[in-house]
Order: sequence, then structure tokens, then C-alpha cells
Amino acid sequence: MKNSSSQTTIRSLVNAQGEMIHSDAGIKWEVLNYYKALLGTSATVLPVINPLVIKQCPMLNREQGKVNLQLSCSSMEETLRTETVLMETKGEVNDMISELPNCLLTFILSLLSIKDAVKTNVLSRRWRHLFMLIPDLVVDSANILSDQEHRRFTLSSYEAFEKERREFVMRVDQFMQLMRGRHIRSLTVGFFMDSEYSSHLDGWLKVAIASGLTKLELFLSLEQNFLTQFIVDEHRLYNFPYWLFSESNTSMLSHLRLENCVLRTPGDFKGFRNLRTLELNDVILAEDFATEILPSCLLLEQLTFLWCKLKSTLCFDHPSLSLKHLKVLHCCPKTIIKISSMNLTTFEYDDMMKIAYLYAPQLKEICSINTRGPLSFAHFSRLPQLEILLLYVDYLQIQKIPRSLDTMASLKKLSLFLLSADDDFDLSWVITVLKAAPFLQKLVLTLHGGERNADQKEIRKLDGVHHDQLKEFEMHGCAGNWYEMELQLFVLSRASKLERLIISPSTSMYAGNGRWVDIYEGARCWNQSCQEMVRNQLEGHVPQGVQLVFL
Amino acid sequence: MAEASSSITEKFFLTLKSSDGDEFVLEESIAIQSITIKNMVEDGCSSSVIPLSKVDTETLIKVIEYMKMHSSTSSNEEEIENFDKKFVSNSINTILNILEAANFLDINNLLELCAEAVANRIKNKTPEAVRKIFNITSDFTPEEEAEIRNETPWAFEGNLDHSLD
Repeated sequence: MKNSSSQTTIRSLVNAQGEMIHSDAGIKWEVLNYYKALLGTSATVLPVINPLVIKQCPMLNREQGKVNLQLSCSSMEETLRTETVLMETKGEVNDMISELPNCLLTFILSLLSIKDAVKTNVLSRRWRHLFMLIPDLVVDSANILSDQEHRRFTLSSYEAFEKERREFVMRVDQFMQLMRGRHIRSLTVGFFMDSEYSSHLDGWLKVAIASGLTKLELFLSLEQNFLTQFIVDEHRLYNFPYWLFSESNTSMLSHLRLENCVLRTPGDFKGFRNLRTLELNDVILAEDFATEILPSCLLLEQLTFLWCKLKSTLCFDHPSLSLKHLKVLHCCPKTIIKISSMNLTTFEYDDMMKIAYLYAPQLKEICSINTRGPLSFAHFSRLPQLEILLLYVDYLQIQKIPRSLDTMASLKKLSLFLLSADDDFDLSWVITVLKAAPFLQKLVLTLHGGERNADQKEIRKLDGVHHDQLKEFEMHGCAGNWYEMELQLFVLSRASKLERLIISPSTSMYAGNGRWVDIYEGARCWNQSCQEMVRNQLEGHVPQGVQLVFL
Repeated sequence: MAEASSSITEKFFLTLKSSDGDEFVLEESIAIQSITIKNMVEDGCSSSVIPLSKVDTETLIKVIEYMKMHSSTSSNEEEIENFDKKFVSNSINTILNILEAANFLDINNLLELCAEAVANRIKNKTPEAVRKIFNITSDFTPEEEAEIRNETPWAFEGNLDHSLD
């Protein structure tokens, strides 16, 4: 088989002068003379081989050949690079940087601002198109306008801002024009843009989408450029061109974050079907968006709504198997939420929402910010996998905690943030919660008060069962009040596996979506006498093997 | 396998050989900051000398210096910070050599450190200064260069730095 398909004759040939030779004699002459020239002693310069090039090429030995296979940069690119370098420099100057492979040069350029990166295109031919290989683009003031400190405007200097914005838009227009047809993996726009500039922003998105965009972030809020907040009419907000995604059925977009714009997708919109992450912050949505998003994005794993106006009843009851992380924060007063999700593992929500229904057999982590409604311990005990729970609790809620709670059998870490205006603050209810969490390993309690009251009650010996799993107890916002000491002494005496007791005056509170805030300006420090007092009161009560830490 | 499991507490040493033929003996725990070396060790190719034919002696000394300082045993953060600061003040060609070696050896921190150092020598500089710093010869005609500058004139505007440091 092999033999029958191999060629044994040469029918035509192109000689060094570029002429086509068809005759048998001509071909014979050409071949013979070529090899004669190769073998002959008289030939100093061979027509097809440039000895300079051969000398300059990197030479490989056997060992290097092996190692080269492991190189992260593709060998193809390497070869191309070597050729270009050889063509361009005649090997006279020691320009090492231009000899680096594209992947390294692109990496270096990606550490620069876009302005600096674009500037390198004039260095030499080698550098002419390098900046266009940067796959992740961040288009904001610092990257486009200057390297100096990011300027922030006030309402009274709006005209100056408008001038700067025109400049910004013009530059990005030119830049995106150059990026046309290149690979753009991600695009982040961080600038206050409104409907006035829709056509420009639409144009940038068109270029990016046509270039294989997988991650898009538009942070168009005023905060990007202004020191003060003012309200922007809805009709002035940028209308996100979702239709660009429905046009191409092959949209690869997997990550979308929008801030301060309008997203009014029609009910049957299917353009986001490859989305895995969706975060909407202060976005005006179509009325049923929140309920329709899950059926139309079957791959969606992370869904976040912040400051969006949502309908009063939210149902996440589509049998989505992908959804793992759900956050609904600051969205609408009195929202009733119904969740039924097989694989949901984390859930964050805030005060105003009432959970009507929660079926999430895989749910591992719940963060509830600023809860003012009744504490839903009943919901938590029905979640078989719940390991981490973060709750805000206020004085009125504490009074309503029943004497006994249903067991939360998987709970390992519990963080409680206490908001109370009351001086007479009894912490004995924490024992009730501890009792309901027999496998708890870490308890973190943050008190909002932080001041030592003048009027101190006598420290009681609190009653309660032993806890044989708790390893770590942290009390923040501690000021040495009687109720704090009472609970610390209780844990020290009853938690048989305790390894560490951490006490600090810090009042840092979780504000949702990964942010922490300190209620008091700056970090609070220990009052020396207060710390000593706490130490004195605990003296003799810290069992051996328990580490006492003052932060 | 038996050899590896029998002496967990014992220190293992590797021999790295530069392209100039010099050999360096280094503790395995330090050397495996390089993912390339780590993979070789895991694949059992480390019994004899590890040839690093892409790394010359001068560069390899620097890389080993870096790996020793950044190995987990010496954990003083301030010391490391000062070391890094001094490290990036090496000549630009030394940095570029180390950058390539870090890429080949797959030492991410070192790669980032060097790339950052190179980027800092481009940041806010005039193209003329960048050419001088890196020995880049322009192969554009003045007309061609003017045309390129004209595509994005704003990139060449502003208070640019002419200095060569």
C-alpha cells in the first residue's frame, strides 16, 4: 500500500530563478547541478542556505531536545520568533528583551497600563503588534487616561468631568479599533457611562464579543469618577445591549457583572445560556428577570443581586442542578423568597427578606445580614448539610428565642453579630443555641456595644450542658462587661475540648458580598486597664491546654 | 518508592547543572519551588544530576539565591521584602535572564517579580528611553514611526519620563 502511493517521478520543478521546468532533461540538469553545488568545493555561497542564519540559530543537543518539550510556550511560536528576530536584527546589538517569546512579553505588557502598553508599538517591528495580544483588558481612568492618581470629580465640576469623559471615550474608541479581530478574553469597563455614550460602549462590546469574549464587567456607577453621589434618571442609564448576545448563538460569555445600568431582557431570552457567574449591582431589570434567569441559564453557578429592585415574591424553584451560590442583598423591602435548589451550597440574604420556603439539601453556608425578622432557626435545622452559619441578632429577637431549639446536626461554625441598644445585656441565650449545635467547633460572637458599663451586675455561674466538640471561642467587641465574662467563664468550664479562647475589642461586622465594615472609625484597640481586668477575672479559670489570646 | 517512604525526616539533596557545566547541590525542599524540578522529582528523574541546559551559571546562582531566601524555613517577611527590592536592582540583562529561567523552571513568584521589574522600566517612559534601556534598535523609517504614533497620539502624550533608570 505504502509503495503504490509513493512518488517515483518528478514531473515539474521550480528552479532558483523561479521558472517552472517541465522537460525531463531540464529537471535532470537542475537536480544534478543543485547537488553538485552542494558537494562541490567551488561553491562558497549556496543559493538556498544562508550560513549567517545557520550560525545564529540556537543549536540543540539531545538533552536540550528533551527539555524543550516541556517548555510552556509553544514551539511554533518559538520558531516564528526566532525567524523574526533573525530577520530584523543582524545580531549586532544585545537586545535581549526582543528575543523573549511572545507569551513572556505579553505577560510583561499586561502589567502595564493600556496607555503604556500601546506606547511600545513604536519601539520596533517586533513590538508593533505585541500589545494586541493582551487578552484581559481593563478600561478605566488609570489605564487609559494617565498613570497619575485617579481624579475624582464633584457635581460642581461636572463640565470638567464631561471633558475628561469625551477624551476617555475617544481613546477607547481608537484602542478597541486596533483590537478588532484579536483575542479578547475579558473586558472590564470602569467609568461612569450613561445613555449618551451608548453607541460607543455598544461598539466596544461588539468588538469584544466578536473576539471570543468570555468575561465581561461593566462598572458604570458614579462612584468610579465622583466623590459625591447623585441620582441618575432611569432613562439616562446605559441600556445593556443584550441583543448583541442573542445574535450570535455561539456566545461564549460565562461571566457577567453589571453595575448601574438597565437590563431588560425579554422573557424568552436565551442569549446568556453559557453564563456561569452573574452579578447585578444596582441594575434595573425586567420584572420577572430573577425568576426567568435560572430556566434560561442552565449552567449558572453563581447568582448575585445587589441593590436591584426585585418583585415582592421571589421564586428560585427551577430544578437547576448548577446553581451553587446565591446572594440577594439590599434588594427590596418585604421580599418573600422561596428556594428549592438541589445543589445550592451557599446562600446570603438580608434583613428585609422573609424565607417562605427553603429546600436545599446541599446547603452548607448561610449568611444573613441585619436580620430584623424572626430568627429562622426552624429553617436552619431542616438543612441537613448546614455547616457554617452567620447571623445578625438584635435584642428583640433574643427575647423571642424559645428555651429549646431544634438540633442543627451538621453545624460546625457559628458567627453571631449582636446589635443591641440595651445596657442590661444577658448572653445566657447563647447557651440555648450551643445546645442546639452539638457538633459546633467554632463560635464567634461580635458585640456591637464595645463600652464598659458603669453599672456592673454580679457574675452568675451559668447553668447548661457540657459541650464536647467546641474547639475555639472568639469574642469580639469585648469590653469586660459582666455578661461577657459570664459567658467566657461558662465556655471555659463546660467546653471540654476547648483549645483557644480569643478575645478582642474589634467590632468589625460582615456587610455582605465579602465586605467587612467597622462600625467605629478605624480599628479599636484595647484599653490597657480593661484588658488587665478581663485577664484577672479569667485567672484560675483557664484549664490547662487552653490557649488564651488577646488580639 | 520504598526509598522515599523510609526516611521522611531525612533531608534530600538535588544536583542542578547549569548550561556552563557547573553543578550546584541544593536541598530538595528548596529546589521544588520550581514546578519543573518538582515534576522531575515526582517522575523519578532526579536520582542523578538535573541538567538545566537553558540556564547559565550566573543566572542559576541568582535563582538559587532567590529560592533559598523564599523557602519556608526563613520566614522573616521584612527580610524577604528587602531581598526582593535589592534583587530587582540587578542589571536589566540579568533580570531578563532570570525571567526566562523562572519561566523555564516554572517559579511563579520569581517570574512575577522579574516581569514587574521589567514593566517598571517601561512604565511612563518615552519610547526613546525604553529603546536605550533595553538596547532596542528601531527598524521603522521616520515616516512609518510618525504614522504609528498618529494611530493613538494620546499614548505618547503627557509627562513622560526621559531618564534611563
